[in-house]
Amino acid sequence: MTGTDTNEMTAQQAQHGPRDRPWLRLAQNHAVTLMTFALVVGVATANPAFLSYLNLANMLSQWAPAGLMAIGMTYVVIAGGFDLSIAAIFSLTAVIAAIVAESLGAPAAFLAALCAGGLVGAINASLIAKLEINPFITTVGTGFIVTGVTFVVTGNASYFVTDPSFGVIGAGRLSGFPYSGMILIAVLVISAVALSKSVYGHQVYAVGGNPEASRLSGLNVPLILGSTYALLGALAGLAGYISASQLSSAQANMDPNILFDVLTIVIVGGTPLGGGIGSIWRTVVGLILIATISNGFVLLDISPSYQSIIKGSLIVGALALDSFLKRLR
Amino acid sequence: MVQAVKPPLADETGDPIVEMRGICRRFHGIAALTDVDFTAWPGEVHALVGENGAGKSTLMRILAGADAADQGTVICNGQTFSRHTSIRQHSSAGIATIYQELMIVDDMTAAANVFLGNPKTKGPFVVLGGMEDEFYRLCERLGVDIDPSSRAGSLSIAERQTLEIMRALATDCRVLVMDEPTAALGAAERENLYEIVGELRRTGVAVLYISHDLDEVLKLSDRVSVMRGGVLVANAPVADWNKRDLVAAIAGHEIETGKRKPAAELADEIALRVEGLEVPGKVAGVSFELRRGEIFGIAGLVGSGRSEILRALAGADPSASGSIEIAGRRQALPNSIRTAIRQGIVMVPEDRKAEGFVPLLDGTTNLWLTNLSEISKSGFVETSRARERAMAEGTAVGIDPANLGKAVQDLSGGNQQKVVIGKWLHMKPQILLLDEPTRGVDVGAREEIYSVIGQLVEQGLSVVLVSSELEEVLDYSDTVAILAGGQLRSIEPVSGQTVHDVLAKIFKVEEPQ
Repeated sequence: MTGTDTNEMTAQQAQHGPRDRPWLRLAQNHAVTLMTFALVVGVATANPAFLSYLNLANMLSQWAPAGLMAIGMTYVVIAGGFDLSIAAIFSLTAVIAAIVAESLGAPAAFLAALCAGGLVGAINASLIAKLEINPFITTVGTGFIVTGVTFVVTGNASYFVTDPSFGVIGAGRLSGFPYSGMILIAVLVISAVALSKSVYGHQVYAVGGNPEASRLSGLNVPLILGSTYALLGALAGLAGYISASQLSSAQANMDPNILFDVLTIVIVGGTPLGGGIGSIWRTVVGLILIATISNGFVLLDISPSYQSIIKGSLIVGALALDSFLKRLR
Repeated sequence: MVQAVKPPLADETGDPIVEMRGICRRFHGIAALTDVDFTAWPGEVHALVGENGAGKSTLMRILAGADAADQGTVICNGQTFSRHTSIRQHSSAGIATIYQELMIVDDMTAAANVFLGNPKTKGPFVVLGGMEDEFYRLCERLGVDIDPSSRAGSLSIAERQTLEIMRALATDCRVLVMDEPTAALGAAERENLYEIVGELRRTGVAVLYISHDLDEVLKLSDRVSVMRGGVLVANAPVADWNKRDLVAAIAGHEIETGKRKPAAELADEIALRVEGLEVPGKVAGVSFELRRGEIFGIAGLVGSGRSEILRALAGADPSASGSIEIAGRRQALPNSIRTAIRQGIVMVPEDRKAEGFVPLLDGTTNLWLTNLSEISKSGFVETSRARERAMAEGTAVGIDPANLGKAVQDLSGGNQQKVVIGKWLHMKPQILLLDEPTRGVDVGAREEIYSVIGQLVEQGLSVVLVSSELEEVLDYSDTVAILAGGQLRSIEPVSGQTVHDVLAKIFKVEEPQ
């Protein structure tokens, strides 16, 4: 294209472009954010306790495990992958943390949970990135194996930890602010900066956006894709430790629904399956949306039967609104 | 070859089959089409030419009902279409389109693909026999031979394209839009397609033909319309056009076309010596020498092993074997892209969209994808430095800085290719492997790309060039190698050779002895 063509286009764009209907552009780009904001305002109006320091601190602590895994999942999905084994890793590492804490103490338990999670993630990584097996099937398979191993190890019993230092990270607070929430916020900030600014982050987007072009540009595609699974595994290990620490106990079936919470947070937030697009701040929006819905149910005293209808409708509604707005012109 | 003598042009005083009037279309406030009038008569091949982004495809999408005009009317086969119509309504009026990305279901049979969406049925059941009979009738009409029960994915690109033409004919199409149908075809397959187009024309179908190959346009069509910047700037019978006028009309100003002057005398210094290059099942014992500052063209049909040779040299194919010598040092064939980069060998791949760039990332990031550490400090990308350096490096390959901030998928084919070439040039390679560097690239960008490469070659860059367009190989190379069946048949200086000579050599070796 010649220089004149481009100038012409920018001139026209300036006349009729985004300035045309700025509200529509804003709504198109941030539909889910706007909906989340509306929901926060709605719940806060209905019950002002929602915005109280104590309630927000509790929410942070409660959603730290799912939030941490959602961060890892965001990396995996942007790199073009998918992981269904995280609920299993989460339970395994919680159990490992509880067992190790009883014998070797809390710091060793923390390390053990992180390493075990990272190890399972690395196994997923080598199966998916190196042997190129479909990620959906692979992680369903490793998920089954990990769950089975966890049941064998625990004999389906709950493990209770008596050492009070084990509970610090999960349940401890500094002037009312939970340590688990601090960890979540710190990991969010670090991962957001790393994803958008670092060389590694650029490579993750490239590998998800076009693996073949990335390979032909000299990128080590299996290593980059694989590293996101290992990262997610390690974060699931961190989440497992925090959860066990919060409860001072762990069992083989910690929270099977956490997988769906994590996937919902990532996808509703606006990191679509398929790779190449997404960001941590979108996942933050998804996390706030899902956490607000759940917390709103409790604060507004909605019966559990209606909860799942409303939760489902809000999730589908957010995505439908987003898709509808993108079609307008 | 296409028959030189065509029947007289369809009677333009008769009723046109397609009439588009005052078509306007804007995307995000940018005018893609402005007040376009377009008319086509039955039984004519009407070529539509113009740079990428000139509006050809948008116009044809509106005709097919795949997109709606903001203003203007579309009349086809006596039916007037309003803004809110569907592809289905347009197709029942007899309009069919063959896109560059073929709409073929690989895992279904050839016959099932032809009757996709329109199967022959009896009650709730599909009548296979009836479809096969009709399939054979269509084959006969087009003069092709395809097994109806073969799996579509196992057929060649040309055969799959023929299936789409048959699908159009099965729904009684009166207007057939073909979007760059020969871009992915080899020389022999192109000739076949020209015959099919001729056959369609004889049976009264209006063929609307989008192409960048101007020789083809001049040979094949009855009428040529030229689009530029969303406006239909010229429309005349083919007899009124020659190549020079067409290029001028497309570009809007005169462009000096083609023909780099081959180096009078090649340097003695050998940049790359390839010995006994083997790719299992594709390339057998290829050896050649590439001199410093030489453009070494490889001419051959699709499937002759051209791309495989380049991929092997670029380290993209671990199954390849052989040895190379760079600047006098003998070494193994690179076994990874990174090894090849260290040796100074880089490749611009054949399929730009699938292999060349990351579509959603912007031009700047794509440019630096090959060497992110160049614009980063302790693991973090320095955005402003990346942008400044990208501007400098981008301008060197003719990328408008305004395009660097856009997602590469939104750029025209020519600008995309400049990004793909640019991402290697800042690595200062010794050897540049170009695979179909101008496929889907408009005339202006093509000249720019070759002028940049020409300058670098004068400074000592060595190039291996592969293109399906023999004119391109002859116009820009110093040496031409003929490749057939995975073997090099001859290596000769380009001077004095014509397309005819090269074609003769390619086909001669293919004939049974």
